[in-house]
Amino acid sequence: MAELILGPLWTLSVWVFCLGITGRIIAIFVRGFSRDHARARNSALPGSIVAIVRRNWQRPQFRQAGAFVLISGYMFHLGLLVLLFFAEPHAVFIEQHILGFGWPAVPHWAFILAGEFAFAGLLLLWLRRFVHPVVRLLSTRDNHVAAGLTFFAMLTGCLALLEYFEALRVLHVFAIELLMLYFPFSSLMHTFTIFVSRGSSGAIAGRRGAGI
Amino acid sequence: MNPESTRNPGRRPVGVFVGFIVAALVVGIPLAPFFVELPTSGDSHIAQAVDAANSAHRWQGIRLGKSGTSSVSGLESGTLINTLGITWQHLRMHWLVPAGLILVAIAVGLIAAFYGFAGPNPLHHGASGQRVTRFSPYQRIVHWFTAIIFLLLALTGLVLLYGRMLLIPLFGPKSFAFIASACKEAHNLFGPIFLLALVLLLIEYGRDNLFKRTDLRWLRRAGGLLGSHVSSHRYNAGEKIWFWLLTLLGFGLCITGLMLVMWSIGWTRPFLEFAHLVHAGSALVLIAASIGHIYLGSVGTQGTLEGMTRGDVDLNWARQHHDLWLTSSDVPADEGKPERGNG
Repeated sequence: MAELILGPLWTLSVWVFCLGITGRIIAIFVRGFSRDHARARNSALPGSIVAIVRRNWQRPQFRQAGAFVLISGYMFHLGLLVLLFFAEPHAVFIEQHILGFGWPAVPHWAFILAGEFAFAGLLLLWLRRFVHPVVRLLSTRDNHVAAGLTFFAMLTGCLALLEYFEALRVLHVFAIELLMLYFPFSSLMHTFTIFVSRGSSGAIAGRRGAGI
Repeated sequence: MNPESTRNPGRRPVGVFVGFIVAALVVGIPLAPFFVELPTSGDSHIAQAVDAANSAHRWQGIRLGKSGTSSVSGLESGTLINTLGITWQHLRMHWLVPAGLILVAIAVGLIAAFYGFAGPNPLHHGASGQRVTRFSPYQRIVHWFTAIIFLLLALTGLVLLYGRMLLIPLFGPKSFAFIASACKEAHNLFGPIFLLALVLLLIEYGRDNLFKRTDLRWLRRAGGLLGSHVSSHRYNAGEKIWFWLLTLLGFGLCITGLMLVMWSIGWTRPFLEFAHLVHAGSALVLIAASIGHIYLGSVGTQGTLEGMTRGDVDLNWARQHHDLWLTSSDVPADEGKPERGNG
């Protein structure tokens, strides 16, 4: 089983992940944007930039209502970012198997703290999908599967933290493989499309002279 | 020849003698170990007896936890035997572990007996079909967040405390080592998140769980078991006791847990052993109490779980269990509100 997970399944999942993401991004740009018949009142570029930056926080009138999502969202995403790229096992893996060069990893305590933030944020956001009457209706099966696979990958990673048992590491690799196989066909693609999406809608609004 | 020297012939031999002694000391002292014989036969018995007496005295001190000096730097590095550690081990194995099992068994037994004797508490007037908002989405998120973290910690903690006794016979020592390692890491990681959950819980539910005069009446009548119906506000006295038990013991759990995780920052072993006993003891009390909470919040009381799953409860449920809350201004104006006057 371990041979399958560390061998062919790993290769397959990496290929599906890379080709899937590349294919979807190409598809977005090949499809292009619908022609805007409105008379241009302003340049599109400033609107695009403003939207990319400005939408990192909520409008003042939604600040109180949206505080929960804002805080939980940043807890999860920043925590995950640190775990993914700056945790020592991951930084070493990226250097040795992917890029050939690396960067300094964060100290162990920062790694653990990032894990706490990521777990707490993910759980709170996922629970909101079950509990909030509106978000519950908006949430699809894909959202729950994506959250579940992310949680499973993080949980197995935390269980393998001591690196004493090979089986725990293999379990974590298996969780990552499931995530990579699912990633390109799910809402997890927002990792790569979020700024494209914001930028394009900001460009449309900017061109029409609308406030962002 | 000098006539003086012939008159005092003793001077030279004394000088030679002193010179010889000095030379002997200068040369002899460093060489002494090479020439002096080690004590044999009769002398060795005395030496051994003295040595044994010193050794016994020394070991007695070590067994009593007496500290000495060591080249190893660090806290308690001079203490060879931690006597309180033996006490801690005894308390853990012979008191805490069985006491925890007994406590959980009592909780399960009481609930089973109560269920068998009284059965679930039904809605006396049936469901009205009208709903009253009981908890906001945010309150429910905080509740379930705390519940999930608590259950994860309870499960992994029980594996760490009872795994050696219960899981090794089932899975064997190798598999248990694997499970225990995973549980330890998960327990350490989720522990601090429980602290966050408790803070959110306190902020969100604390105000309504402050004790009021009506709670005394509720307690005197054991929540209606002894005597007629007893009114209560948003939470009854039993729910409030559970809330404060969870938050206070929970904070204690978090503090002692953090001490155990950050053992290397300078806590002494007796302090950590004490922290462990408090940690495990509080956790077992909370686990036993949580069984009661889960029972009463689900199958034990008809219609209660809906408050946490849907956010609203039936109007008749609110009338039956929290009538003072229903008539208070805390109840939001929703579809259940017009019915309040009919009760």
